[in-house]
Formats: sequence, C-alpha cells, structure tokens
Amino acid sequence: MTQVQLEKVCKYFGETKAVDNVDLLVNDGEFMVLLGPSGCGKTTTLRLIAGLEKPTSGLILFDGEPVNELEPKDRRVAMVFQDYALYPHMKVFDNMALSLQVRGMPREEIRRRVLETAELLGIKHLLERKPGQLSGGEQQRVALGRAIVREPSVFLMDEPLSNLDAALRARMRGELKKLHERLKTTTIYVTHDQVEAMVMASRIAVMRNGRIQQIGSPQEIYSRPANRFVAEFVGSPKMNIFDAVVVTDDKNLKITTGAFDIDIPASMAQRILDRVLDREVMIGIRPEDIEVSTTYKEGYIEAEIYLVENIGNLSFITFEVDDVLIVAQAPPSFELGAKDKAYFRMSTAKLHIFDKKTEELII
Amino acid sequence: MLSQKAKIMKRLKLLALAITLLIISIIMIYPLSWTLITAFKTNRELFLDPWGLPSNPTFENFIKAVDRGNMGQAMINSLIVSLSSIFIISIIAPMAAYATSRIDFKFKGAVTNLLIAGFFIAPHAVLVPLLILLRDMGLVDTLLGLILSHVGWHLPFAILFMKAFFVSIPSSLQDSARVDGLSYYSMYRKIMLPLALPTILTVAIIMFISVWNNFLFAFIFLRSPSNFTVPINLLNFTTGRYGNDYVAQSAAVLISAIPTIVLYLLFAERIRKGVAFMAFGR
Repeated sequence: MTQVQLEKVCKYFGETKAVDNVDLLVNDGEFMVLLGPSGCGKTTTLRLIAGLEKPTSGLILFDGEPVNELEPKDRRVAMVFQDYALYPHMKVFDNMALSLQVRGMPREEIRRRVLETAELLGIKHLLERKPGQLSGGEQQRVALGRAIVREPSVFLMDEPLSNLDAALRARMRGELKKLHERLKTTTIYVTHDQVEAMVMASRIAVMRNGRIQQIGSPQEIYSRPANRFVAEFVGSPKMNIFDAVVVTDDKNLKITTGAFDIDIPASMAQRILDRVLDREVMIGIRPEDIEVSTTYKEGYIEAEIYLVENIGNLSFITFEVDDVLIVAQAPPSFELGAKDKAYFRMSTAKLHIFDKKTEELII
Repeated sequence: MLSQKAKIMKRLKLLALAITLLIISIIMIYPLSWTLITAFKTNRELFLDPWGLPSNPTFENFIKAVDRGNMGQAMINSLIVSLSSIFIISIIAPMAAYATSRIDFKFKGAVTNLLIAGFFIAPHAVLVPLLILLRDMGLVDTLLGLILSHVGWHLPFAILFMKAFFVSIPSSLQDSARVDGLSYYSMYRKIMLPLALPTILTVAIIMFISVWNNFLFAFIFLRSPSNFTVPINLLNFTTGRYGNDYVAQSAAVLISAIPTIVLYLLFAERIRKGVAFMAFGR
C-alpha cells in the first residue's frame, strides 16, 4: 500500500517537453486513471513513476520518500504493458515466476504464489503453455498475473486493454475493477479511452501536451470540466461548443450566438452578469441536456435536421442552425429524418460557459 | 486490339526473361558440371574427350586428392578455423549488437560507428598491418592467427546483422525485464539470447560459408602446407607436382565444396531468408 506523489515533474526528450510541471497525488489504494489523447505525456508519466525514465526535474515520492534515483525493481512496482511484453520463449509459469526468482524467493514459495494468482485469474490451465499459444485475452490475463504475483506496492498499467476486441475489453474492464476492489493496491492506469476511465477510476487526471488539465472524480470531470479540452475529450458524442456573447436586453439576460438566443432565467442572471457580460465566450452543452421536440413548444428553437443517428437505445439528432451543428439526444422512437424541421431547447442549468481566449471554464 | 498487343508484349517479355535466366543458369552450371564429370575421369580420358561422360567412373581421383594432395589435412584445418571463428563470433557479436542497440552508455554512437565502419573497409587495405601485427604476436603461420583475423574481419558484419534483430525486439520486453529486476547481463542471458538464437544460427551459417571459402587471409598468413586450409591447398593442384592433374584437381574442388553444399541443403530456407534480410532489412 503506497501513496504516490509527483511534485513539479518535467521530462524532456531533447527539445521536446513530454511531461510539463506535473503535480499529482495518488492516494493509498486509489485507482487513478491518466486520460488523454496519444502524445499527451500520460505514458511517459507512468514510465517516470515506474523508474523506466528519469525526470529532468521535479520529485517523485512513494509514501513521502523520494524515489528518483531508485531502479524499477527497488520501487516495488509492477507494470502491465500495452503489448503485454510476455517473454515469448518462456512458459506462462516462468513468465510469472521470473521476478520472484530474481528476488531469490524459495522455489516452493514461488510455486505457491504463482498457483494462487493463476487460480485468482482463472489461468491455471495455461501455466505450461507459451505466450504464442494463447489468445489475446489470455495473454492479457497472464500479463496481469505476472504483475499481481509480485504483490507490488503500486500497479502501473499502460493501456492494458487496448489490444482486445470490444466485447472482451468491456468484460476485462469490469474484472479489473473487481480485482482492484479486492486487492486494494494503489493503481495508476493510462488510457485514451474515456469510457474505460469513467468506469474504472476513483479519480481521473486528464492530460494534454504534457500538462494535467484537471484532476477529479469521473463525475466531476464529466459534469464540471475545467476547460474546453476536457469538456470535449470526455463524453460521447462530445459536448456541443459554440461561440456566443452574453448581452442584456432591457431586463432580460440572453446568450446570443447570432443564429439563436438562449434566455437566462432570473435565478441565474446575477451570477452570469457579474462574470461574463459583453465578453466573448463559448457555450458548451452536452447532447443529453438538449431537449428535442417534433412540435413547437414555448421556448424551443426551430431548426433543420442535418443527421439522425439511431444507436438502438438512443438517437442522436444533429441540427443545423446557420453554420452551427448541434447534437442532441432523443429517444430511439424519434421519427423525423434529415431535412425535416424539429425543435430543441437547451437546459440553461446545464450550460457551461468558457472564456473564448483561455478556454477555461467560467461558469 | 490494344489488349491483344499488350498480351503479346507481356509474353515476349516473359520469354526474354526466361531466355536470359537460362543463359545465366548455363553459365553458372557449366563449369560445375564439367568439374563433376571430370572428377570421375582419368587424365587420358579427359584429353581424348574433354566433354564426354566418364566411360568407367572412378573414385581414384578423390583418393589421390585426399592422400597425396593433402586435402584431408586441409579439410581438418578448414573445419578448425571455420568452427572456431564462428564460435567466437557467435559469442561476441550478439553481445556487442545487444549493447549497442539496447543499452544507453557514453560514446555509444562512436563505438557503434567504429564497429560498423569495419564493414566498409576493403580486405586488401588491412593485409599488411594485420600481417605485421600477427608477426609481432608470433601468430603468422598458425591457425590461431588465422582464426583471430577471421573473427576480427567478420565481426562488423555479424554485429550489423544481429543489431537489425535486436532493434526489432519490442522495447517493452526490456522494460518488463527491468521492472522484473533483471540486470543488463541477466536480461541478455535470460531474455535476449534465447530469442536471438535463430538469428545467431543464421549469422553463424553465413559466416561459416564465408570463412570456409576465404582465400586471401589464408594465402597471406599461412606458410606451411600442414597448416593450409582448403582454398589455398587447392593451389597444390594448379602448380608444381600436380600442376597438370586436372582430374585430381576437380575431385579436390568437389571435396572442398562438400561442407558448404551440405550446409546449404540443410539450411537453405534460413540462408535464403538471411540473404533477403541483408538486402531488404526484413
């Protein structure tokens, strides 16, 4: 059980800044997910924690003790790699036993631990096979087993599910979560898949260009994204974002995009007025926070349908208003199609307002 | 109409290709088959009918080549030199290739370039300095001197070849071994070496053929006939006592080719892949 802390950690590769001033605290027993697009520095951050890379500057602490100079083995971490990195010439048993042998553990103890772990993961029948004879899912389990058998202080996982097909990925996602609940080992998990992050994480750190954009619980990240990048990266379909200005018209406060206006209820007016009046902003709203109607209702905006995507349990309706495309969520029974007229209304309580220049969240 | 013409053109091209290949094959096969036929003739038969088949095939020439032409001793010498050379190369080359491909150390670039530079030097350029070096070490006219020269000479190629392999191993395998707590040496011995064995075998086969056939080094560094390797021992049959004994000479040439032919028959696929790997890198 270990707490992992990064203090102002930077990593340069030549002139390229891969990790930029990262501060991160992963609590004992926590499942922390580093989420971001490829090249955002999440894997490098993980490798820094593992000890496979040395930080250019900054401190990495395990339980408050700096580990910058420690080799991976002395950090007592276990890592699961994206391609599993199983030793192809060794049997599954030897793959799992190697790190214990290196530590000089007695043979009987090694055998006991490997069998116990294999039992836990349901791979006991694979112990005598070589990695090449296993399916992707089985290899994945062996890679996991190799990490677990060492009883490490921290699990580091680098996109361990990305090579699996969709169905298996979903299953393993659940199993990994269950496993973490059972072992309660501090886990740092890297992924670019926001669903994986949302489902498994205790907390998520969203990264971009080597910097952490936001750290929070999955719900916080989803419902109060710190900036436009997080807002768009998390959620599928992504959040609608468009330029707007907040203006007053006599007593009423309005957000106007040029194409349509959104009236702000009096209860929210003061809060908005103080911070964004006459400022160029961006409005963000998630598809599920837009109501759709086939008939006109009070306060709804009329628009032409550009595209209807029915995914079975839901339909996503894309409206075209002037040049702005807005995606809204509707029940699968929604009947209209492209070119038809329909109506939508944005739930003002669910609006996110971002500064246009800094792209940071204002409200 | 056009497609008809295109078809004819395509066929003509194929025909031209077939004829060219046939001519090349004949050029290649002709001396070999002539040697093969001649090895079973008597000298008298050879001069009476140079192209004809042996009327009464005899193994006399082979016995003569081994007994009187020193071919037996030469074969043993060649085997000692070739096997020892590839043994040493097979130990050093993978280690050097692994270190220069996968481990970061000071002056790695310079060391790598120096190792590989040897690949681009013509053998004639090093003959004199090498001879002086061997003389000073008292290794002229010894098999050990020849072995060491072959090892040094062939290492750059072997390292380059092995490097291509080590670079192709996913780096996550090494990372994984590091996390497992393996030192660089155990990583090499337990993970990399077992994986590299097939490539090492390929390099060893190619090296064996090259060392076995090498004439220049043996010609310059060896003096006593008892130390002669096969390629220079064949000179026995072109000058002096056996100067005109073409039939024995043919038998000797065939004997000298046996190991490489056997090796090729056993490992044809591996050699073919190795040569393709040299040319195309994969």
